[in-house]
Amino acid sequence: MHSERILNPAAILGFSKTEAPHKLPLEEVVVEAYVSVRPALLSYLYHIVGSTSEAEDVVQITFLKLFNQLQKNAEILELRGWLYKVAHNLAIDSLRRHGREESASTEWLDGLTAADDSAEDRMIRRQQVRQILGGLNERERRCLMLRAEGLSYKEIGDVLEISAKSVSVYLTRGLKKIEGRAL
Amino acid sequence: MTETQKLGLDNFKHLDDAVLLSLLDGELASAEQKRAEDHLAACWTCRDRQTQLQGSIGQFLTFRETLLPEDIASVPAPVEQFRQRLSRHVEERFAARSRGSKMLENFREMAGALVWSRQAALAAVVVAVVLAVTFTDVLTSTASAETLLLRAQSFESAHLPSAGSVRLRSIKMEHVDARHQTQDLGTFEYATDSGDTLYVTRGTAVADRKSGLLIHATGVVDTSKVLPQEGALPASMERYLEAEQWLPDVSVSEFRKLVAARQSTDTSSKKSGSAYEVSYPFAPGHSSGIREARLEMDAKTYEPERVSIVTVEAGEFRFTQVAETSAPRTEEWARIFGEPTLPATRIHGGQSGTGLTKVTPLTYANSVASEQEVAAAAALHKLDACLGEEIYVFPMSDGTVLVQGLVDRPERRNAIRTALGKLSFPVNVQVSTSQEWARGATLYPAPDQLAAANAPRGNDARVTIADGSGREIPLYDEISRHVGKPGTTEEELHQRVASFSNEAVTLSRKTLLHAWAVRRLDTEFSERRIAQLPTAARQTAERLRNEHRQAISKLTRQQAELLASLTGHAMDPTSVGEHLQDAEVLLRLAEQQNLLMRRLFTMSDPAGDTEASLNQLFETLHQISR
Repeated sequence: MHSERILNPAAILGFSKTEAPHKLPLEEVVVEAYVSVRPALLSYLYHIVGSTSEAEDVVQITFLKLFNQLQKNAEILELRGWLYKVAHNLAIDSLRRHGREESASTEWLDGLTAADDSAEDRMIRRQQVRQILGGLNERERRCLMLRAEGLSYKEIGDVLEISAKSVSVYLTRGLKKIEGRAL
Repeated sequence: MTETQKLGLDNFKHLDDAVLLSLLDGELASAEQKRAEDHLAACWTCRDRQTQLQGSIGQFLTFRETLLPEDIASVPAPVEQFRQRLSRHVEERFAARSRGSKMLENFREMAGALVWSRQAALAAVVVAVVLAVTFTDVLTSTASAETLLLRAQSFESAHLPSAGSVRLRSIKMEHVDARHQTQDLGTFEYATDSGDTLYVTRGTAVADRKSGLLIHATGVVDTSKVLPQEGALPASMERYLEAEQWLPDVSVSEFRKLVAARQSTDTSSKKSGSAYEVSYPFAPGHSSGIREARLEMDAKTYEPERVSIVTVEAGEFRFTQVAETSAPRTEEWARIFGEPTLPATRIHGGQSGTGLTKVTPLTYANSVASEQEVAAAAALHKLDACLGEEIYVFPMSDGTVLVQGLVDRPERRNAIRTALGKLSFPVNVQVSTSQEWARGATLYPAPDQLAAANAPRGNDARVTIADGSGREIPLYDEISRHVGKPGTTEEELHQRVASFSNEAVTLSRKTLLHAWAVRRLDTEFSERRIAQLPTAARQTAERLRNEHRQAISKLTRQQAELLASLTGHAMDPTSVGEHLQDAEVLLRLAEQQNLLMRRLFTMSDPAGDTEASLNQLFETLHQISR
């Protein structure tokens, strides 16, 4: 009996190699893709925009754009890189629109209140981390963040519009700067 | 290969960090990788260095973790919100481009009540990825209803009108009574195309009907004999047809909408003759008045052919697709489908689920506030929508929240929709400009039953300072002394006085708007209405009020300073303390200061005794900020 199982859109979209025919309306494909990719994108974007709700908004817009793209039947090569690139650019736009700098700036810190001791500890630790990462330049920080998301040098280069070789250089420099800086 | 490499001298040179890291990351080309590995195997220094790099990576990951809020991983994805946003997005993408024509204007006018933007429904069909349905299995009559629906859906996806053509459909409506007598109620005819939609009915009249619409590719003719007369159908069918905007079809997407809120999960399917029939019973006593909905499809092709709705009160109503053809998309059709001005959000179909349950707004007096209401109000507050704009948060009878109101610009509408779309729960938003407001859509009276006329109107701060006949605003001399400098030309002076006055009047108008907002919030989130809410929501409601009160304090102070700069009459700056508790009194005082400011700084109100007005104004401002 032919089964009507709902396929994992991540597979459809190329997150895995499984070949699968589309079984869902495009909107549902996009919704499912949103659900499965959201956590990773969200934390990456949080580091840029510094607010969960804004990051969520950017994630959603990214998937609206994915919908447009798929609907045009446009082929998306290397989907993961594409998603990060679109999301990244949207986040940067959003920062500019609000006249803010990257979240190394402190917005997210301002929003925190020390409700209890552990929260206070956390705040202090965040403050320290912020100082340490503040010693890195924007490129270094972004390369490291994207690499931590599991992107390859080439994918990172595509997102930031630099060469894979440069990515390797920024990563190395970034790591050197945090060497031995424990909390 | 370099000379050193050829000689194998490379092994004496330590690997640099970039190479070590690239090796860890699997980013080296195979030849390089081999060389690096060989070196590492031989070199303790480099191996140690590589371990240090690993350590730094670990450290970075910890840092990264530290920066994230704890709950970021655990907050579930707002899937429903995203789904709604996506479908709004789809609608907007399909909303037509601007193009006008006389014919269309006629058409629009007459279409009035009938027109419906079906973008959402159609778009879903249009974009559905064409499914490659495999008929590897032999469907028996035991195939599940859901499977059959999916197959019907793939039939539809595979049979979308191709670009450059228009699809014309005829749907016959019949009534089958308890004695199995079938009565023909007429036929709906309409056209759709692949991108945009059209909603055109042509009536083959059987009984007396509401006014309908006949459209030819060359023009519009009113038939006024198309649809069943008001009252001729049971309420449940009226509601169904209304939800379908009087254009029923047999598509799977519309069928799914119909059964979405049936409050039951039973389904059944059977094969009868050359057709499959799926049945979706509604919960007993369902408020829609529907007992069951069925969809029939061709047993070979799965083409949907008929929707039957069995009502509790009046038997079965059938909608059968009797004809379905494609026509070339002529220029005339193209113009019709280019129809530009439909609102992107369907104001009309906004009722819950299938649109079958009649949801009504409650008044503040007979309801208590929900967290959702507070959150929606806070979102609007953030956009300053509480300042004179008539946008209300309605608690609805089914526990949902409706935000409804008119705005003056499309950008404003978009900003409000976006902000509300970001809330973590779905809000029914009906915010449009008055031009877009669909005819026949209900604009509810404000839930606090304050007459809308109470609302101070928006931006009319333009001031006239002189009327050319020599008459000037009362404070002209004082202001010109204040803003003028030696050598200022008359014209410059005039302009400065105008902008000074403008500022003064703007401050007072803002004060009034904030006072009005406080008054509104006092009713909206009165002690009684918020008593049951969690602390956070209560605090939010309180915060909204306080922010308006703070704004009032600030504005009043600014006004006083501005006046003091003119007259030297200073207000006691330390007097700002306890807020006026009574919002009603506050509003009255704010109205008074607004009136006095206008009297002193514009020519629009009859000038009285300037000195007396000024004193009275100071007194009023003093009272407000007390």
